[in-house]
Amino acid sequence: MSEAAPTWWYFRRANREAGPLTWDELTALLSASKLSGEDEVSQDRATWKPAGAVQAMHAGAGGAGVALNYSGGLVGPTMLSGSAAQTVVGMAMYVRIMSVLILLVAVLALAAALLMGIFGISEGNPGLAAAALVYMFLGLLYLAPAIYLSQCATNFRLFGRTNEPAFLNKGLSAQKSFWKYTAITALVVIGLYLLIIVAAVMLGVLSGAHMV
Amino acid sequence: MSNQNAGATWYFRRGGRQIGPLTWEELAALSAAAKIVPSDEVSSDGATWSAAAGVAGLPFSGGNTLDYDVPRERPTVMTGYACDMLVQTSPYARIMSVLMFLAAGLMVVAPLLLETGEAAMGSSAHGAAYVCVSFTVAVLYVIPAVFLSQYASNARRFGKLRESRALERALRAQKSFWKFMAIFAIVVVLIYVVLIALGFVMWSMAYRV
Repeated sequence: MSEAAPTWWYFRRANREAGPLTWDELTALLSASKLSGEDEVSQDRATWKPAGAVQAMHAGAGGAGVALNYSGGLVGPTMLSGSAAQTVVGMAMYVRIMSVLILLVAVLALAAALLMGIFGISEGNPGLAAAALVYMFLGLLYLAPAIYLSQCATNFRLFGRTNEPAFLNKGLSAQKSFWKYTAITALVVIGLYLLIIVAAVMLGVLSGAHMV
Repeated sequence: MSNQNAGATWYFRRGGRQIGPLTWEELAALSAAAKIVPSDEVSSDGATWSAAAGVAGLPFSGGNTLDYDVPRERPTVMTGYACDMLVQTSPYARIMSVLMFLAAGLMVVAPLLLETGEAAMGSSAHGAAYVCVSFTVAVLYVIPAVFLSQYASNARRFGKLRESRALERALRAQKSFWKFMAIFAIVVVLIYVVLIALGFVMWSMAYRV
């Protein structure tokens, strides 16, 4: 029902109203327990009913394929100017190029891991087998951002072709996943490097003290 | 409980100019962007017209002033969800831009320290060319970092104030970032391909001799 019959939903809690939301957004709020059964929902802002009733509908629809990670500030739709829409569509090609290149890096790393693994095991070389694990890890690390960027490029392109808001939703959601993943991974990797450096310095200091 | 407003086709008119048919979302986006105000006339059949104020569920944001352009065409709708997705990217983009600035700073500082250290010890192995290369690489890191930083700032501003100008700037900065990255990556790949080809040619020539 979500995309075939787009209708707006509103919800209110203690005199504060939010909306309009799409059905997907509303059910995502329910799934994420951001809405409680005591909140009220409405389609016309005139007749209100408890969110629990919609929750039953939502459960009856089998979740309706909603897997949105919604934790936002609940605002209404806005109008995208023509130039802004063109910017989004123009971005698609560059995002596609980057997704392909990153995917290539991931595939090369995974292929290298496979070869190293085969040789490492057949020749009984534990060093090579360990390197294979490292390369496999790197390949998998690059796979996720390549997929996010590919989703982003596809949906931006479809948005340009159809002007359908749902494609913009998916494209921007994929873009958010990309930046979230990249930032968190970068911080974790830097943290690991710092730990290694600190450990190396500590070891150096300890062995130095031992020699004296 | 179904909303008749949502299923219908909508028309909008003011001062002899009419647009439509519009979907309910398009009508809502126009009123949210203050392109339609409560005193404008809307119709769901193109025959009977009534004030937009009487239509339940339209999210007006512009008050009832007439100091705005009449919309000329169907609007491109950006849902509240899409807005949130964009705004929530801001902290992550900020982190990445700061990391890229830091990397650029290290590129400049590290070889300088190395150079002065080596000069103090009387043996400059790398020389000025080395410093030049690292400066160039640093600049290549700074450019996307600036785009990303602009994106993060404008996305945050859009989240706070809902300014369409901030939205446009954020999207433009993001596009510039990806354009730079894609062109840069392709150039780097091409340089690698040329180097590998050169290496292969030299290797095969050496063998022939």
